Amino acid sequence: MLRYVGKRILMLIPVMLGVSLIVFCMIYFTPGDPAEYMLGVDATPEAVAAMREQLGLNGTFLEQYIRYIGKIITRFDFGTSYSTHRSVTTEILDRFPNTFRLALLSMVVSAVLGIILGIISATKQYTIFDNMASAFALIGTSMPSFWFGLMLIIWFCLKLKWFPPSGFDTPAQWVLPTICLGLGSTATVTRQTRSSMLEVIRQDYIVTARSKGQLESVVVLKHGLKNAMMPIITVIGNSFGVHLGGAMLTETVFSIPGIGKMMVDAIAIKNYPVVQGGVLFIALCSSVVNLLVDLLYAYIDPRIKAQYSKKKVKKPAANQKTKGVA
Amino acid sequence: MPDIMENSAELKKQNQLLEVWKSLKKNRLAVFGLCLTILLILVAIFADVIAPYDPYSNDLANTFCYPCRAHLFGTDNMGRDQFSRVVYGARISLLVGISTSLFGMIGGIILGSIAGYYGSHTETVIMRAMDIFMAIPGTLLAMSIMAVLGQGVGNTILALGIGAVPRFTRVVRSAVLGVKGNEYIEAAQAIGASSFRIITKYIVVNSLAPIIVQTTMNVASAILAATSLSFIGLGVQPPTAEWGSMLSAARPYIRDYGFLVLYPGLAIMATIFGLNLFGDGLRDALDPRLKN
Repeated sequence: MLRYVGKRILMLIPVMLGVSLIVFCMIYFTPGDPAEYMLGVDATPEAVAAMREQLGLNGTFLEQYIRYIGKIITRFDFGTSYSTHRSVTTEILDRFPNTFRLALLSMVVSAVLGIILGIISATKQYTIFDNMASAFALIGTSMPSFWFGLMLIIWFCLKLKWFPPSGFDTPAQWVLPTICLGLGSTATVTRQTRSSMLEVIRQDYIVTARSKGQLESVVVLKHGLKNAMMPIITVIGNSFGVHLGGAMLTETVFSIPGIGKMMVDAIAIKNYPVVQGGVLFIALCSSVVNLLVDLLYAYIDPRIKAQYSKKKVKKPAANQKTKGVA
Repeated sequence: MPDIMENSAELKKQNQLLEVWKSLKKNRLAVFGLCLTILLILVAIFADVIAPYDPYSNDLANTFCYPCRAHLFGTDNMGRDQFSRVVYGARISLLVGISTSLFGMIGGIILGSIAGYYGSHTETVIMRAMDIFMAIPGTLLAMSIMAVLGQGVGNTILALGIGAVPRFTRVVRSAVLGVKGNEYIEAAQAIGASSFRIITKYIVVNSLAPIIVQTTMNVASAILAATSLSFIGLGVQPPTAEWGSMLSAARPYIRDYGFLVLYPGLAIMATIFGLNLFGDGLRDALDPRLKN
């Protein structure tokens, strides 16, 4: 198992190097000189040259790339923001708590709601409950989050005045963005729970559990849900990974100072170091979450755990056999 | 003899299509989705006939007109008829959605079939490169590409198309791996057919079902992504009548004129809803194994 974890972590390295190369290439081949952009059109050629030196823009493509990666690896330095002149690492770390909180809240909401709706839908298949849950899931996946956010603002902030329309400091400000971001994933989790529960419910062991007189709730939750959980966890994990990378639209609509809003603003003013650093950070986040989801599988599913510890189990058995023969 | 063979092949093809249609027809939701999609296509084609006004002509005497008989969806801050703009918006969205999916599909077929057919190092290189692209969330990748390329319809298609290639490549590769082991491929190799001919004539043609499903689903996600890009000011630019940029332009006025954001959003939702329903139904009809 440890070897598997180690291997997976090692595999992250080439992926992250690849991502950094893609981002670096994109920015490198963009027309325009960042040094001139930072100093303005009136800057003297000497000042521009000095700024280029400072930004590490001199030398060939490879030299620049190696310098960029070197700084990240040795000092965790992603460069300096063109607009605020602060380090990109600080910019990212300042905003990350907001993004993390939003992603976590919407994950919890969508997991709880989605699983409940999915179970109701599957256990009461083809009833009015099932149809309503399915309709909700279909609408939820089709609704653009930024539009839903605007609608929430119009109703709950401007008309009813229940919640503030922007910011992310107080719990009252968390409600609408969480609903906005959570809707899409709730819909996906509902659909996934329904389909995997339907598959599990028809298995023989469910019939066995019922025939031995087990409570229906125990049958559904312990025998059913537990066995249907794997694909549901994948869906929840994936959406958490994506949201952690910045819910760009939700954060923009509700003016939340998170990673997503930072990226949208940075792209709008061509603040390349922030774009580069942000993309790398986001890719790292989603890769780490994917890795954790895979590890979670091994933790909750004894079949997968057995697969990894197969060699360990086999060896003592073989030894015993040889001992016996001897 | 060849005539009979050709005829029977033609008949088989027709039968397959008929089977798919029969199975699709039974799924009422899918038929509803198909109708919505066809309606959208018709609106896009006949936009000039349907739209009562020019979507770009300003009428400063009639700004912020509430929905009424003369202006079904009201008018915006420039007095432009919202209904006409929503109708014309269907053209852009459909154009972006379909072109992006075709771009992704062609890229995915080329890379996926090469990876699946040749295997070994070629496959490793292609698939690892796709993993790298997949590590960057789709919208973010498109945004970064747009930041470099600049705004506009063409660049939106290119940015979203590049982002769609890895997903198509994965789908095509796994379909190709499923087809590759069949005897008719071995037979084609035995009679000395070139790799190009085997890939184009036998492998791709026999892996079409999942590719078609992925393409349909991708049209929906591409339309959603394109409207998102326009909403944050990176995609199609105002004054072009596009649903995302209409929403973005209406944002400052939502306090008093909420109807301005209602209709473009409903148009996006209906489009995605229809395409998703149709895509789901098509997937079930084309490949019952994928039903769940």
